[in-house]
Amino acid sequence: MTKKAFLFILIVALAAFLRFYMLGSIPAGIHADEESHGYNAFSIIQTGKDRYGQSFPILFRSFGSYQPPVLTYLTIIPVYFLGNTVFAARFWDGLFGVILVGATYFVSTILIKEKRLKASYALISSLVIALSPWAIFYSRLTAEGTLGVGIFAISILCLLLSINKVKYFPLATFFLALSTHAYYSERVIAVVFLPLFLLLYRKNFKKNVRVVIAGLLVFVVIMLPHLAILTTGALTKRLDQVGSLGTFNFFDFIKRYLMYYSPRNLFFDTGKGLGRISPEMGVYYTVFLPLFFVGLVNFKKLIDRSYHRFFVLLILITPVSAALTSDGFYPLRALDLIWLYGFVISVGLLVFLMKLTKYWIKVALVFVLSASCIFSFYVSYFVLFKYELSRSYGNEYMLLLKKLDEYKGRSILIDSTRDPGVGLRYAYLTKYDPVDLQKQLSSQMTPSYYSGEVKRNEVYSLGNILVRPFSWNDACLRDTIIIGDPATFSQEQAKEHNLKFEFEIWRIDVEKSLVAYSTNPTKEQCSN
Amino acid sequence: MGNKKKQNLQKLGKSDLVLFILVATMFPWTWNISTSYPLFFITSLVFSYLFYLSCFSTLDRRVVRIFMVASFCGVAASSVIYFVKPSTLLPTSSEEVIINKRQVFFVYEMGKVFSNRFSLFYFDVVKPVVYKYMINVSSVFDLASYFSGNSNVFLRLFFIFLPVFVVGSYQFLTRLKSIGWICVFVLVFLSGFIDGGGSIIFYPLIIISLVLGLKRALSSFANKYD
Repeated sequence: MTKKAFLFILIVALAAFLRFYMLGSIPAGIHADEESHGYNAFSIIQTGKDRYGQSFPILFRSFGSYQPPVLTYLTIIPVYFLGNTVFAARFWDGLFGVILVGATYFVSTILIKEKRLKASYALISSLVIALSPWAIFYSRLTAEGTLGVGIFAISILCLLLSINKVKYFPLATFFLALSTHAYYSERVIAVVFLPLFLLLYRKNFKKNVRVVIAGLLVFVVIMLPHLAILTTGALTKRLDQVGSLGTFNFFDFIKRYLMYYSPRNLFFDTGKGLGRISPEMGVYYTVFLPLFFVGLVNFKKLIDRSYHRFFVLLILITPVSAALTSDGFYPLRALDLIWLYGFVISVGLLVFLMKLTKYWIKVALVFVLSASCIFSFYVSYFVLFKYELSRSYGNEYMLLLKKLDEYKGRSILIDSTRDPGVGLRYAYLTKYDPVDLQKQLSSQMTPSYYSGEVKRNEVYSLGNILVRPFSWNDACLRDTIIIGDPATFSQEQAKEHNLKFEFEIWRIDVEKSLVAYSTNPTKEQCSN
Repeated sequence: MGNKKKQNLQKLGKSDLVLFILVATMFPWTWNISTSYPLFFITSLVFSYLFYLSCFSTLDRRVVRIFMVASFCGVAASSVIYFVKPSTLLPTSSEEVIINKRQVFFVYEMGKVFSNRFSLFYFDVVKPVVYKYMINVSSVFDLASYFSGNSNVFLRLFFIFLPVFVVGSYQFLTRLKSIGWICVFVLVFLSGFIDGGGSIIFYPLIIISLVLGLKRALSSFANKYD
């Protein structure tokens, strides 16, 4: 085995470790999107239909919106072999996080001009992506974005190859079209980028018109499912929810577009939240900022001239879909662009290492840099994120599920007002019968599946557990344990309605998060 | 064609000072800066012009460099007088609550590794200060805020100058000499002590970027139509 191959395997192993280590337990819970993919996969294995009873959907209806289908269909495999676990639901994002590191390596070998630098640059690029906070963070949760950028990276690799060997073009268009079924952002990027790419490199493709037509046909055929539901409202539902098309303002669009080029948003903490990286962490480490500037200065010099236009075009197009939404900086929607920044940072690191003369100093520097990055990420993600964002992943409901084992013979009512994902979470983790759930959710099928009109709150009846929004009439239910968060009922209200305290659940961030009371209806209160 | 290009550049070289004055006075925030921080405004103008001559023109003479360094000291000193407040790095009472809560998480996860006095000092004192410092530094790298920032009342450029600014910044980065890098690093370092709006400290560098961008645009225009 050559030294280069050994180092590449080492980087891939490091990437796999950072993505799969404690994947089932951090984030400390399961998010609504994750359980939706997981349960739909489970439901398809059992019945060939999703949880609403729709056979092999083009898009999966979920919590007021629609999820792209590729991840759900892929999740069938881990759910089949590993069961209904959190790890199984997150498996593909972790794996595509590793695939992205590999794709980065091969893309880098094409981009760099000098042959003697190919291996070094490719190894550095793959290491940068293996260690980058955004790449690890989004690979550890089921947010579809990693899958989207992974497939997109493979299509970019094929497109780069096709510039000199046109036979790769159909393969490139296959992956590019597939990426539009993996995540929302790629739907815009793929459609805008492909014609401009052909225009830029028309001279290279002129002699092989047949292959180009074949590639375009592949693209159109894979895009057909989108066309089939184009007018239903389902395809654009997500854009309707997060978009700004209704109140489109060009200057606001430019403002949001610029956010994705701002070094502040790329190398510094931009706050907590589901769409952001873990606490006190930027998309890239702050230490990468000088490397980014060095990379910018030297990019033109080191990257093959024939790919400059390709890279600039990608950099300009990739943030468009994220800027079309009404949110501020939202890295999850611009992962393709953020991935491209990795190549610039890698040029910076390469130039910096080239200035050093002694080999051992280079090795020591890379080692120290990697170790400090891993330490920063460990503190931010495996400690702070695990606790401080445990609420966003329903950690308290995971703890509650264990506690409910003690109450198997009792009727349980769980309030889902502030977390509509509770019912499906339990359905997934307890392997609740999909046929029965399809019957329960059948009322959601009117209007039609792809109508775009999706109710967010659903009622789940899972054996002795009923999950739905709580109302005070429920205090009149006999022999029932009602469970909600501190906002559902105060101690005074509980006393007023003659509720008896049973237990409370404290989240891992040491916050009281759920309280359980048993009902004890009185004639005076419940006479009506 | 080569000679024509050279002539055009020379013509533009003579009008550099005019371009500087134009750029320095054309934005609304110039008035705010000149009235609120007059010393910073004057030293910034002098420094940016000498910095430009020293790093981006053929007039890179020793005397220019000496005056450039002197004017830079003026910029740094006036920044310290007007903007720098090291106390901004100290945690507020609400931040102290978060730091104390985080101690529990660190103990859970890191056990004895966290409980020794070096780790405690790092996590309780060094890390929060470094974090606040970096957040302050980040404001100077907020490209979007220069054009549309709500929090930054002083630095707001017109959208139409965005391409010029981008081209100028690229020129600035690629052509900067070592003495220029030192000045940039000092300004970035100082920005860490300015609460929130540290981007004002980049005022002289923004002028240079805009001048470089405008000069490039005018030179392309002149070459095309001459």
